[in-house]
Amino acid sequence: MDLPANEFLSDIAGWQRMLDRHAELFTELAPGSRIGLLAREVTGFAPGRQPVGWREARFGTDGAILLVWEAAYGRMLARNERIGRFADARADFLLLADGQSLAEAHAALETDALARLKRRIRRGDTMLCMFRTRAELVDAGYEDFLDSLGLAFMGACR
Amino acid sequence: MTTQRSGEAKLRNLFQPGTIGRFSTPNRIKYGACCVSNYNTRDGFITARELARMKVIAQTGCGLITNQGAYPDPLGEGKAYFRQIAIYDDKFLPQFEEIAGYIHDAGAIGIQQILHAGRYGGIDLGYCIQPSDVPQTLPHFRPPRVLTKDEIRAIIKQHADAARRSIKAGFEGTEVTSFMGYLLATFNSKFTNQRTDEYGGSLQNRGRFMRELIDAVKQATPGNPLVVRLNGAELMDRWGGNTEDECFELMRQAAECGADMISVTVGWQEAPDSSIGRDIQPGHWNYLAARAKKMLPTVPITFGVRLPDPRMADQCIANGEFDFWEVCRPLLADPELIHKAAEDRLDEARRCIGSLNCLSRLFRDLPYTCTMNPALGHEVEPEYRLTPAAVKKRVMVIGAGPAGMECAITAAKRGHSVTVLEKADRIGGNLIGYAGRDLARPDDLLSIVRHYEVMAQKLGVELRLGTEANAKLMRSVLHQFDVAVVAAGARIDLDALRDIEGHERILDGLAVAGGAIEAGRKIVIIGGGKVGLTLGESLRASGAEVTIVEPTKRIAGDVMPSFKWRHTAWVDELGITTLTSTRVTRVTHDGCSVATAQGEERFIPADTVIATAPRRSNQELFQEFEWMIDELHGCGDAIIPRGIDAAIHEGYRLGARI
Repeated sequence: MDLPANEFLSDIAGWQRMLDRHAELFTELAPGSRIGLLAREVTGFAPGRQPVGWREARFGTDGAILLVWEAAYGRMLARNERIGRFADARADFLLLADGQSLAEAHAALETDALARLKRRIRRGDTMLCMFRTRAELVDAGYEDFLDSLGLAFMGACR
Repeated sequence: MTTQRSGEAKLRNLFQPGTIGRFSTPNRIKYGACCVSNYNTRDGFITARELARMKVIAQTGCGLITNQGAYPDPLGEGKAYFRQIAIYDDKFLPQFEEIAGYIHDAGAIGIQQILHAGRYGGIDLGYCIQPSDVPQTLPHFRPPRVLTKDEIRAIIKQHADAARRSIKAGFEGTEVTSFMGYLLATFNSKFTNQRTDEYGGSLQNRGRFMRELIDAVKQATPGNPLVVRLNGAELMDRWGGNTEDECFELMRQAAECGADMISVTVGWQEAPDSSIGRDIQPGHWNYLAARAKKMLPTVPITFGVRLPDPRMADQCIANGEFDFWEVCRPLLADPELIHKAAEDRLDEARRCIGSLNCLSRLFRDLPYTCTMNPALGHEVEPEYRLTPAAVKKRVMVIGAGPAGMECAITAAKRGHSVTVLEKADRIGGNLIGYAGRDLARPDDLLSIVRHYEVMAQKLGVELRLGTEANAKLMRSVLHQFDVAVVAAGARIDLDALRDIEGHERILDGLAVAGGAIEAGRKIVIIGGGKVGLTLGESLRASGAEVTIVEPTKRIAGDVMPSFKWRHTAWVDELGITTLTSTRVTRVTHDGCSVATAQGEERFIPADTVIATAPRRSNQELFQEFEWMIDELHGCGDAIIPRGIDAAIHEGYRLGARI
């Protein structure tokens, strides 16, 4: 599927510069820790709806472009992978961003892309899909990053 | 016949008798099981610590008391907190019986909550159970497993058995929770229920599990009332959750199915909006209760979300907005609140300030505590009880901030003669400036100061304002005091910034916060902790450009977890620039230079540079007074700069043992 979103996800140099600028958020991450960013449109996820058996459901014939941020060699490295289903992402958690979220974050790669993603998560435009528990994520060194996204303590109990 | 107390006449709606099922309650106040305390054993048994706390809760004066949620299944799929209580077997009953006994001894009606956490459960397991395979959106929770119909039937039976057990233990009724994203709520909500069988799809189908469960509990305990807690608003619309209209339709289903009382609640754990924090105006959610009451005029409605004041609750009942005031956190903050209301002594009440220390601790898997009530959770420990002092002492407290004032009034309650020396012309210490800058609700924080003013006067604590404690003063009062308590707080450590070129231009953040110094319009704030953020937000809200420079990786590092999100959201909303892992290196008349951890430098134009960090304890008096008084103690930020919780708790503990 040739989505405009794929252009944004494929700008590896831009995402890498953003990750490098925020290197301090990822210094504690265990090697191999992975965050994935997917265009929500290709996943079939919508607010209050996801494909039946979504983990194994295929993303259409071409699959989907996954933007991976992976901890390796002491930094967070950006790269693309083409995946056929969620299970292939092997991510600790996924950000499923709608087209607007992706466009906005991409436009802000040189400034405040993370803050914009955070705002979009709060609005429900970007959905989070967690595959690890908090304890596992903290053990893997995610606390700084989760904190920066405002995820450490969301919820109505505030 | 008991005599009516003066406050009961003023709040006559609140203090009129009520009814739930076949039972009468002495008033319209329901203690709500707002939180699991996490005081119990890992395998679900109630501890002596919990019993002692519940003894205090039983004596709060509420007519209807809910005991905290117990999970009903032996596997622990319903268990949300590590030290949550269980009720899946009779072996747990002796302590439940004891709690029911406390409630009856106090003349109240007891309700046992059955809490199956569903999507947020299975804390000891590797999964949670849900109607559908909907991924978790928060890292706190476990991956889902979809319930089969056989399992649904088994869970309904577990609830019915738990209800039967509760009644056997002596409770008059039970309560099930269908809010917050717990199991029942996940069936009700279209966010988490995408089943295609008879338990999913239409609102009628989604509500089927709740209706079958209500029916089973009612059949198991036919003569006993059942309270159902239901969302008036899930706050999950943006995630595809139920609309308010759908929430109310589910309420109607619950009522038609035989629920004896509906408790109207707000929000899910995952909701992107807040429901009970300090940023929510008291009374904000009352419209939900009023709508429920209008829709279900014959069903008792209980409500208390962000409604901390008994006077407001009394008015709501008078207006017909709900029947019972459901209250929890205000009673954690002050277990005497209802008695103070009944005796027309509300000016003495300690208000819940909505800091949500309780929830912050729960979400860190710790037992809950309360900023305002240092004894909460320690009721079982004699050391936390206030007993008359064996030797009446003359106590001098230096500093009238929260630590000093808490120590002073606690010591005075025990019979000591207490004098507080304060160099400012009013009490409150640094809290005054800080609270005045708070964008959420300054009145919540300032209520702490008002409480101390009232209590100091009532307890005869002498306040010497405008008096600076020093060695000369100490020599002049030699032998007039037995004890000195240094509670002089902390200051901004401007000396620590001397390596910055132009450091003499840096202003003291506390002086700016307190209004002693006026800031300009282009401001750089050193320090992104709670003081820097609160000051920066306030200055930005009044129109200044603000940049916050924080040397560590994150802003809000010293902020309560439950309020961190609020500061980071304000920073975004107000357009405050934050530079983390960055230090100020030079200050000039037109701005300052900063350097990142990677060594990149830049210049920020500014007319004002304000330091809010680091902070340093005011400890000099410890050395000066060491040989001038019989006993010398310290508490609060004068020991280590922290915040209001440590100040109040340490002040209390010291006052309780002098």
